[in-house]
Amino acid sequence: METLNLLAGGLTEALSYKMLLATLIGVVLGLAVGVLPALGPAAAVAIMLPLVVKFEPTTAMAGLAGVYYGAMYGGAVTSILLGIPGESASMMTTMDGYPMSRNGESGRALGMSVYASFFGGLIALVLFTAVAAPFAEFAVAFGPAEMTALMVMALSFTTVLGGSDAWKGFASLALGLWFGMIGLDMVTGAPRYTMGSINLMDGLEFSVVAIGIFGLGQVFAALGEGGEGKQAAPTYTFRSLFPRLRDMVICWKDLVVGSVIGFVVGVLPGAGATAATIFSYAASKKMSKTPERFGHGAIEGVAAPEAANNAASYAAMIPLFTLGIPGSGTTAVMLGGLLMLGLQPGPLLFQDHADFVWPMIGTFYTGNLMLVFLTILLTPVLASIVYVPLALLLPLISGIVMFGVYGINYSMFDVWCALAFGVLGWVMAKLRYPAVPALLGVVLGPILEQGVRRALLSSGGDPTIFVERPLALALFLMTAALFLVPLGRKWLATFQARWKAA
Amino acid sequence: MKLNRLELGFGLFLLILGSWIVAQAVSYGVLGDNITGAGFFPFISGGLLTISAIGILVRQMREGSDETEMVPFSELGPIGGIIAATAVFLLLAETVGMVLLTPFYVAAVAYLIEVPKTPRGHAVVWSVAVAFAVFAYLLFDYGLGVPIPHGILGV
Repeated sequence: METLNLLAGGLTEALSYKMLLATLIGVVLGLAVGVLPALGPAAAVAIMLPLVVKFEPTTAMAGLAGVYYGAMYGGAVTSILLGIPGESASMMTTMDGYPMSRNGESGRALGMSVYASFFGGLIALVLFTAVAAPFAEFAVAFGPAEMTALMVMALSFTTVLGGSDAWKGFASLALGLWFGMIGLDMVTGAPRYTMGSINLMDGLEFSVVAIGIFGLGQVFAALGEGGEGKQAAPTYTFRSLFPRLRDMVICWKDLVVGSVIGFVVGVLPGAGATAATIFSYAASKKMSKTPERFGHGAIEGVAAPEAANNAASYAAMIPLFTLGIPGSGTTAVMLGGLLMLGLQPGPLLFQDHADFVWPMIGTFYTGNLMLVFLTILLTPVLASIVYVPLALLLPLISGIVMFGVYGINYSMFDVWCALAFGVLGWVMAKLRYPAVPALLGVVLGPILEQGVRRALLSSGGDPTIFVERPLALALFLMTAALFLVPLGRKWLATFQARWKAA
Repeated sequence: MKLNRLELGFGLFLLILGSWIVAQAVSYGVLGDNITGAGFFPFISGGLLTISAIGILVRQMREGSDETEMVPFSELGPIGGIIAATAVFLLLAETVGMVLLTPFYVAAVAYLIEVPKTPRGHAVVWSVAVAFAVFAYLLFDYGLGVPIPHGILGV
């Protein structure tokens, strides 16, 4: 009951003109970003950070969050019309959405994607509202041991599950951890890796690293991918964009299952919206009595992944707000944003800043509703954005990055750093080093270091402090299982092969 | 440029960097008066980086890599050019003024990506470049109050 009262208060705040405007700007930008293969939501949120940090926290975060979940709606448009996923989370939508479009059912596919996105978002938001506050209350009891174990687990899961190459993932993580350590040591005050530079005494600004790696890095990486001619988008009528009742009835199971899978997977660090769409697509195909239709224009093949990716985007904010642990690149950037705005995400956020949290949740509801109408209205515009030449788009992104980074601390040194990180981001993209672990390392590394060193100080150097509490021990064991189980399977397979050969 | 050479080079760079981080961490003190020294976490991250780099290099040497995968000059050229253009922009920004330099920067990057084939294309590039400079001034200097360097000409 108290939760409902708090939500009602939050919704009232979210309906103020300032919040509605911030949400509107965020979701429109998110829709545009979702359409563009050259720019992902993490990059867009990173680039927007210097702009929004000057606003009041709730307004700023409403805009940033709008970019995130707006991108999930927008990614489906080009997936369906052109067979080009605007986001990795829209890849599965292409499997059936594009064939539907080629069969003259563009409007039907688009209509279902909008409805499924709204449905998945709504289910996730209801679960978010029900789960987040009680979980935050539970998490208040977490001590340094539990938080350390959680962070180690989040970093490990994201590194191992978020990419195809664990070695490269850990190299990326280690780089990120190191970037976070540059500057004055928080315990002893000694300068570390500053190389005598005054500019580095305060450390590297997180947003500079994020904008460099994701913003400029993606600009450079896009240069190697663009250039092919795009065919004209198929035509459709405005009326055809509205979802059909028959399709809603056919797909009800896929929508519910997709939403739940999206929510559960989205909460897990490292899994992300893309994994959620893959699982939900597979589940939908398995549930179907005619699975052979999938991949050739099955409406369920659009419904399930779209419900999942939107559910996952909201669910990813639960660990961010309640534990201060981001599970994806975009939420890692949002964590940086919260810190820049003077807010410490974590269990106490719900207690100490309820006037921030509940209006934020309110904006998620209003944003989700706005996107239904905006996506239908703006579909023709969104489809045309993809035809903007890279030769015009990328210089503008670079220009925004230059001004935006300068605007953080009014420092040219920061812009030089962003350029250097842009080059690093390009090299990492080219060599398939995942960038998300690096970003998580920059954000969580200093927090993790502080927690570990203070815990060891309080225990007189006794490391068993981290495994004394059952929850912390359980989390460390889960992290260990992440590494040991695949190794064990590999060893077993080798042993079985040798046994058979013998 | 062959991609496997870039892979090898970057792996070696990470190995050297990781080793340097560890060496510096030891000089800061891994353990200290507060149980852990300033070098405690850098030692861990440097160690992780070194081990990961060794793993990457050993795997590359064992398994080899695709000799045919290349980073074409058509990609390297524009990227190198954009980096150079950005560096020139940053070097001159405080002297000449950020807003004044912006149209030239945006146009330079656009031309480095693709040179327009028609006079209309050139006009579009320069129009967008100037419009963006005006937009950036209005948003950052006027709207957000960021003290953009105006240079010696005060623009």
